[in-house]
Amino acid sequence: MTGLELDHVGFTYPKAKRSVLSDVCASFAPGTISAIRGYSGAGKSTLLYLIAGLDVPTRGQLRWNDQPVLTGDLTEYRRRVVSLIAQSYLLFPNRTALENVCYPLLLAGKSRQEAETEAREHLRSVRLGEELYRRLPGRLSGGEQQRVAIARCLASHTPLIAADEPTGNLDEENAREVMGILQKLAEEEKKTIVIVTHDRMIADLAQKQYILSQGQLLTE
Amino acid sequence: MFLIRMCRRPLIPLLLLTEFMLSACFLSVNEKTLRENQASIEQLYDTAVVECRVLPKTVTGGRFAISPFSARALCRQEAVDSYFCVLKDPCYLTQDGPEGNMIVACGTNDLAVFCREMYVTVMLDETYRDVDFKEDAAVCLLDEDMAEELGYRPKDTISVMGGDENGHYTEKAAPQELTVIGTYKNGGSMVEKGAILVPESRFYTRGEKRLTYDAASQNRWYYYIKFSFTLHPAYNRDLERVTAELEEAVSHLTGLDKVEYTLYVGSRELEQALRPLENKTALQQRLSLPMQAAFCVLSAALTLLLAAGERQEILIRRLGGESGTRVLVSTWAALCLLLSLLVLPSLLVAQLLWKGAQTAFLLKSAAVSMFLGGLLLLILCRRKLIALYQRQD
Ligand SMILES: Nc1ncnc2c1ncn2[C@@H]1O[C@H](COP(=O)(O)OP(=O)(O)OP(=O)(O)O)[C@@H](O)[C@H]1O
Ligand SMILES: [Mg+2]
Repeated sequence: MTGLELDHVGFTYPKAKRSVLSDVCASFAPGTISAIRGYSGAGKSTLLYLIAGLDVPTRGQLRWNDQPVLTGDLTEYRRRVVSLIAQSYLLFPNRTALENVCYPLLLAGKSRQEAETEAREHLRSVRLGEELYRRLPGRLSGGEQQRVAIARCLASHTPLIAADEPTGNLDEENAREVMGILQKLAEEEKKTIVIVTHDRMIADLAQKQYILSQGQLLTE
Repeated sequence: MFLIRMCRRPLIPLLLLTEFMLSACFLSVNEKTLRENQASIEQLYDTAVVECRVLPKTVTGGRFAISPFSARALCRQEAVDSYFCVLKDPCYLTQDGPEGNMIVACGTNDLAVFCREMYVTVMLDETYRDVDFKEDAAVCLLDEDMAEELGYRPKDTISVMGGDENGHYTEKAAPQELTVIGTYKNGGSMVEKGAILVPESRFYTRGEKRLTYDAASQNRWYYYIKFSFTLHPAYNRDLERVTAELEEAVSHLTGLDKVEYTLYVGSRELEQALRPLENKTALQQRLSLPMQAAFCVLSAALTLLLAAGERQEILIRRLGGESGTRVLVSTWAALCLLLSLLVLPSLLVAQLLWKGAQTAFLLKSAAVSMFLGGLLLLILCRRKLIALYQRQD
């Protein structure tokens, strides 16, 4: 179990002149939270998109547990390996909190009953009030939506979690709480967690810190 | 399941439902009134009777008088359906007549029209209610006062012979025996006082028995003082041509004293009834296509909005590890099912309003929407996730 390895990863946006990432080498071990910081426009989100399987590197390679993440089989990678916690939470707008968390469970082939039971557990573990389970995301606060997104991430049972500014929209207290949940996941479930953040305080809560600068990832 | 989710954000589906309903209503009502107007136009063309009159060209051109010969020539035109005439000739009662008094024989082929046109009231004896002046009946009607003076009653027979213009007997015409079938009351100055009313046919040369005293003078004394005719409804659609032909024929007529004639065609009423209807149907026909196009565009636009609203759903599902094809198929199927359900009530409305004439359009419109919606979904499902995601953020 070597976790995620980035092997000389480079990325250029289509039609863009300059590459955003030129040569990123890093490895993210299971059971750790790694925080990536960098100035705005450095390419932090772009790197996270590659980790989350939104696209493939234009150069180099990603490896998960020593297996290359094949370009043709991103679907499998997205389904079994990685889950993304997006800054905008990315919840199904017309499904309730509970239904949102049920989604990966149903996709994995669980019955509706089983899925709901498990989804409730995950929602409880992120301490979302029971009365909010039947609400649509539009009627939840930012912090509540973030918890639903984390619960869904838990329900997808992926060993790798990529989080793009997971606390960006939250106040300090909520941010700390979210970090607490992530820390617990890393410790107890040995998940590999990569987060991108601007926030020094959040980064300090991670075991490893990186700075992305000029297309390269540097250890702090 | 997806229907429940749709109901959570029902604005666009409701708009679509309304749009389908409105298009069914508008187009059906338009179709209905169009068909009804077209039917009334047909009906007008099929039944309207256009009356034509031959008139002197100038008001001061003297009295109206055209020879039956000319009139008959006009009537031989195929468009002419029936005619009405009044002719007049001096004649003489052979017995019990007012001495030395020339009487006028007034002939017509249609007693009913005669009464209306000449302001005459007829009192027919019961036995003769069915007498038809179009036929060759040896009958007559006497002026009320004259009948009383002379003591004639219905069923009596009188003997009449042609007189000359001076009110003299003429031996050249043998007397005719005519049965009195009733009396009339002269309501105006159109009919000469004391005239005897006879069917038109009594004037024709029939062996020796005729009310015209000789053939040579027929053209001088035997003439129509009124003549009009009606056109066959079958020619109503072709009035312009028919009118031109008849006008041409009338322009060659010359009557007594070289009076020239002109034709008055009573098509104004028909035109006045037709024009607004025809204008309306033309407008409705012209409007129908743009209206359909507008409704089609509207439903397509709403469907595209609906499909665009699925962007986040598509993104999350693909991010969750579902293949693009799978997401596309299920989303498109849901969209098609929804559209089918939404279009159903409008089909019913179209059926109720006008025999479902708009069913084909509604189905087509829904199909176009499904197709375009599917196309947009296809684009969304094929797009690079990174692009889809970035637009999201
Ligand atoms: N779709 C795209 N096409 C072309 N260039 C892009 C695209 N998306 C981002 N970029 C460019 O890539 C660079 C890195 O963008 P990225 O969003 O990864 O930065 P970031 O480090 O996350 O910044 P921030 O801290 O502001 O979120 C930027 O210069 C940006 O302009
Ligand atoms: Mg960013």
